[in-house]
Amino acid sequence: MSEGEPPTRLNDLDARLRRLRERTSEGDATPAGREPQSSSAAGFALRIGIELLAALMVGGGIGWLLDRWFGTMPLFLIVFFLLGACAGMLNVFRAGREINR
Amino acid sequence: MDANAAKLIGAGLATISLAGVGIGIGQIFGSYVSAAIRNPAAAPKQFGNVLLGFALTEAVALYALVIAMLLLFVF
Amino acid sequence: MSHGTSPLEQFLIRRIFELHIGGLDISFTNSSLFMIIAVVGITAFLNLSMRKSALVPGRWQSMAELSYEFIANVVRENAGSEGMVYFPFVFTLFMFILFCNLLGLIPFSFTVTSHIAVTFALAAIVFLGVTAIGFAKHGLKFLQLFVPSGVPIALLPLIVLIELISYLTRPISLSVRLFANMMAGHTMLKVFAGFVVALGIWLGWAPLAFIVALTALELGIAILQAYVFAILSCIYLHDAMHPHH
Repeated sequence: MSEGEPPTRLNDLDARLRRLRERTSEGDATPAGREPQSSSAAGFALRIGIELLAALMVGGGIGWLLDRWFGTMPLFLIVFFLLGACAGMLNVFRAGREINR
Repeated sequence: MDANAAKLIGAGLATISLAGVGIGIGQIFGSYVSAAIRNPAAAPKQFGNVLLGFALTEAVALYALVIAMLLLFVF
Repeated sequence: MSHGTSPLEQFLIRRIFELHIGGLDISFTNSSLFMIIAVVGITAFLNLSMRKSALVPGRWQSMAELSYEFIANVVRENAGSEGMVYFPFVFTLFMFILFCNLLGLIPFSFTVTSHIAVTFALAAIVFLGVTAIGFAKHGLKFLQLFVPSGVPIALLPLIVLIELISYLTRPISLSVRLFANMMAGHTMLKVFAGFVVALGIWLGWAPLAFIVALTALELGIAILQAYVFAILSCIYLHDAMHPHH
C-alpha cells in the first residue's frame, strides 16, 4: 500500500464529514420530530396535560349541550365526559408515539 | 321471617369473609418477615410489593363492608 | 342512633352557593370547595417548593422532588419507558387523591374521596382511557388479553369468560377500594368519638387513645390508598400496552 493513499482518503473523509455536519446542524431546528431536549420537555409535558384537559372539557361541553336540547338528565353529560376522557388518553397516546418515532 | 330480620342476618353473614382476609394479610406479612430474615439485604426493595398486596387484600374486607351496608341501607 | 349526630353525617353534601345552569344543579358544594383546596394546595406546594431550584435541595424542594421521583419510578417500573408519556396523568391522579385523603383527616373537614361518585369517576376515566389505548395500539388483537397462553382448548370458553369478567370489574374494584377505605376509616373515627362522649370523663380516656392510634393508621392508609390507585393504574396501562401474556 503506497504512502500517499491513506492521507488522501482521510482528507476526503474529513471533508465529507464536515459537509455532513454543516448540513445536519442547519436542519436541526426541527420541531417535535426529535426527542424533547431539556428545554422542550416541559413544553411536551404541558402539551400532554392540555390534551387531557381539553378533551375532557370538550366532551363535557358536547354532552351538556346535547342534554339541553334533548332535555334528558345528566345522561349525555356523563357519557360524553367519559368519551372525552377516552379521546384525551388517545391523544396522549398519539402524542407519545410521534415523540418516540 | 320479615325483611328487616333477613337484612340483619345477611349483613352479619357478610362478615364471615373477614376470616379469609385476616388469613391473607397474615400470610403476606408472615412470608415477608420470614424471607427478610433469610435475605435481609433484598428485603427493603420488596416492601412496596408488600404494601400493595396488603392494600389489595384489605380491599376484599372493605368489599364485604360495602355489601353489608348495601344490604342494611339500600334494600 | 339516639339523639345527637350520626357518624354518617360527615358525608353529607351541603351546598355553599346555589347555581343552576340549563337544568343542571352545579351548585358549589363542600365537596367542590375541598377539591379546589386540594388543587390549590398541590399547585402551591409544587410551585413554591421548586422556586429556588437549588442543586442541593432544601426541605420543601426535597419533598417535591421526592414525590416526583417516587411516582416516576412507579410509572417507569410498571408501565415501561414507553408508558412515561402518561406520567403527568398518573402524577396528577396520585397527588389529587393523596391531598384529598389527607385533607379529610383535618377535624371538621370533608373527605372528597369518600364518595363513590368521585372515586368512580376517577376509576372510570382510568379504565376507559386504558382500554381505548389498548384498542388504538393493537386493534382487535387487544382481545388477546383475555386468552392466556398455554390453556387447553376445552377450557378456553370458560377461561375467556372469567378473564373478561375480571377485566370488567377492574373499575369497580379500583373505585370501591378507595371509597370504602376512606368512608370506613372516617366512620370509625366518628363512632369512637361518640364512645368518648358516652363514657364521660372517667372511662373516656380509652376510646380517646384508640382514636389517636386510629388517626395515625388513617394517615398511613390515606397515603397507601393513593399509592395503590396510582400503581394499579400503571399496571392496567401495562396490560393494555402489552396484552399478550
